[in-house]
Amino acid sequence: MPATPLNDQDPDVATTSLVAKLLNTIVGPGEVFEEVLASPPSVSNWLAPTLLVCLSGIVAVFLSSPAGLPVPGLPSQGEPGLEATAPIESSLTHWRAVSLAATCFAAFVGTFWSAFVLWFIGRVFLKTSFPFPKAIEIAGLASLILVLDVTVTALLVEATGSPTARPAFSLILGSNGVGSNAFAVLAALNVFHLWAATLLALGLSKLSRVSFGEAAFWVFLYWIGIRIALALLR
Amino acid sequence: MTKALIYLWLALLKRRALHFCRQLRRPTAIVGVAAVLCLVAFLFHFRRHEIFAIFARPGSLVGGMLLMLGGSVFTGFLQRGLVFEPPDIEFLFTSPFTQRQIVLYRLLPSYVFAVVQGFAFWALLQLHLKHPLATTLCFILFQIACFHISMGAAILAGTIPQALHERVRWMILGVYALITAIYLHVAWDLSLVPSFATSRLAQLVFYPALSLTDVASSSAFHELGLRLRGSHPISFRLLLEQSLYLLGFGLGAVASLWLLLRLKANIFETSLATTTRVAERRQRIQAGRRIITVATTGLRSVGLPKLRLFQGVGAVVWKNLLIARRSKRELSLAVAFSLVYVGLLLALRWVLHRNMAEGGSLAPRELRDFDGALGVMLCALVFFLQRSFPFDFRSDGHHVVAFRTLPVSAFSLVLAEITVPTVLCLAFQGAGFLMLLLTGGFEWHVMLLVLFGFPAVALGLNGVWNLHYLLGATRSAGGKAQSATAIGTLMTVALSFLIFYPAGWVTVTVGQHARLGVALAAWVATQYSVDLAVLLIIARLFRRFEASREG
Repeated sequence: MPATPLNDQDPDVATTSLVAKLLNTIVGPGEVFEEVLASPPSVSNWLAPTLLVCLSGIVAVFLSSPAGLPVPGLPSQGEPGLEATAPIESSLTHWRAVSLAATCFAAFVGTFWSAFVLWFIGRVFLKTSFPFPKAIEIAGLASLILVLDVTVTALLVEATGSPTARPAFSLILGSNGVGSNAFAVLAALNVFHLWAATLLALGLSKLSRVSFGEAAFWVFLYWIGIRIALALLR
Repeated sequence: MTKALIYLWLALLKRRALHFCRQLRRPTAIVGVAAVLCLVAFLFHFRRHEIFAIFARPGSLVGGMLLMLGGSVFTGFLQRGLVFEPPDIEFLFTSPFTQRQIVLYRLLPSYVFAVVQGFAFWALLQLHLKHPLATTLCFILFQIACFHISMGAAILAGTIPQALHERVRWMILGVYALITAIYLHVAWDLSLVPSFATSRLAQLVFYPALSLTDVASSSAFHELGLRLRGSHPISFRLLLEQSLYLLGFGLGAVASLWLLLRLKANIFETSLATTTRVAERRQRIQAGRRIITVATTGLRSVGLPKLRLFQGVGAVVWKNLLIARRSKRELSLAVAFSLVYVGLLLALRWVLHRNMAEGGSLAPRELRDFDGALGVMLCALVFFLQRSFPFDFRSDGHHVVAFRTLPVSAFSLVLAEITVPTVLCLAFQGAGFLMLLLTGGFEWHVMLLVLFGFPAVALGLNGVWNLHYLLGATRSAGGKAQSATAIGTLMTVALSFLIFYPAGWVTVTVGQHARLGVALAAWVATQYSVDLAVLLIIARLFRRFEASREG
């Protein structure tokens, strides 16, 4: 299994600031990943985007509400049962606290998990070896797309008035098809999910030194293909 | 394709067919072909069974097609290039044939196979198909297409680098796993996906391609939050208790590891001795020899007795008797097992007689059958005892070569080898029968069974197993690593039951035309004849073993 030297500083790759990296991840991820791979490991490369995801998740939580608990401007989501144990205010506060904790937990655990999946795919299926910290940095930077996803989703929910509205092909079906297999499959084809998967595939191809197509096969199979299969197999 | 290649293919086909027919002279080949023919005949005979209707279902057919297609792609891809016979390489590749002609020549056997398979498909499933002929033709054409795809995959796979080939192999397997799961769900309503995999929380494994608000509003998180909040105070206390337990046991594990690592003793010398001992023990077991502990090796030598019975080949009997006398562990185990076994029979008989004494009635015929069943059960004790007395070729396997230098006949040596375990089995069975006699007498036919039948059974069983042990010993002596295979042991177990079949069949046949005494006499005579045949086979094997060594 060939070990890929990733930590040697490449003089041809320009060093940019963290803010520039985050912005460039959206517009030119290839250069950003090349720079990340050519630089020594840096915690800020994954910590900053993960904190941004947490922040966006916190904002989204404050804009939404659980089932049966009315929040001005947003309709209820149809999950009964949670409000029965305590007064509405108390329940809402509690719901928000748990959601905030869950959002932060998901952001950090998800970053490490997606890095592990990338590392595993590279190690087992692509037969290449690369440092796990670099995989964390790539996964962290790719998760920046989630910030956009959360923002756009919140705006979409606000605009349509439907809590199930997502920037996905499921918008075609509207609220009528919620719960059906077709809706679940189309919801898996979320624009931002596809974007994030593309970024991960690009990062994996850089990490493994394999073609983008080959890396994209595995990344899309896991992040998109399995989701669609799960939607079909429910 | 040119006529020359067709002629070549036909000539080779004819030669292979003749070679196949010549191979049928070998017993293993004829048995294999007969097994396949029997299977085909069996399937054809039961072709109307409903299970074939299941195979003819559209869902099953689609599954089969997917399997054929997937298998073709994968096997072709694994092959990496076309496989030819070495003479083909020398002839075809140097001759003026085009690549297309060679590919078609390579496909010809596959076409024939597709037609044969199609015929089998039609023969087995025609009754369950709406349009059997059209379906069969489609099946043949699909099979042919699969061969084309397989060959194409093989040719393509040969052109890509090895590393890429390995990676693409994984890709194919990944896609197959997905297709299989979807097919099983759609066609057979089988779901390989557990329910939690479709929950909101499970979406976390697809981070960052997920909806963060969905994960945040997952019921799993909120139920946990409710518990921690105190809506379920008992759960919180339980959580605390569990945490304390975990902490305690975790500390214990860490402390014990700390103590272990602080040990100053030298592990290398002790480990070396232990490893050597265990390896030797394993080697002895693999060679089919007994495990002798160091403590038992300090026994004194014993002189040969002056009794004529133990002179000549009888010395082998005496040696095995001496080993048996020193094998207290084996004897103790046999005694304990026999006591339990005979105790059960004794209890059964005692309960019967007590019930009869208290007024219970049983017809004389039923009482005789009960006693006969007890006798048969006691006779079956030999199946368990035989394994407990390894004083035959089991322990003398590594002496087989030396035994051939003795001035005795093979038959007498074989007889001497199996004497001790047979006599011990009979002694234990006899003791058990005497114990049964304490609860009352037996009918004459049971007594006859014990007197003549038990030795016949013990002799036959020990003969069969010694045949197995001798085969294992010859394999070991011949330098084979493993003395006994699982298949060999399984066949011996089967044979140890089948050896009683001829006598049983004779008894049933004679019993239909004659009285019980005559039938029993026929059984005893047949069984002893079979035993003698087994002993002669062992002796012959023993002689042939010597010849093969010299050769």
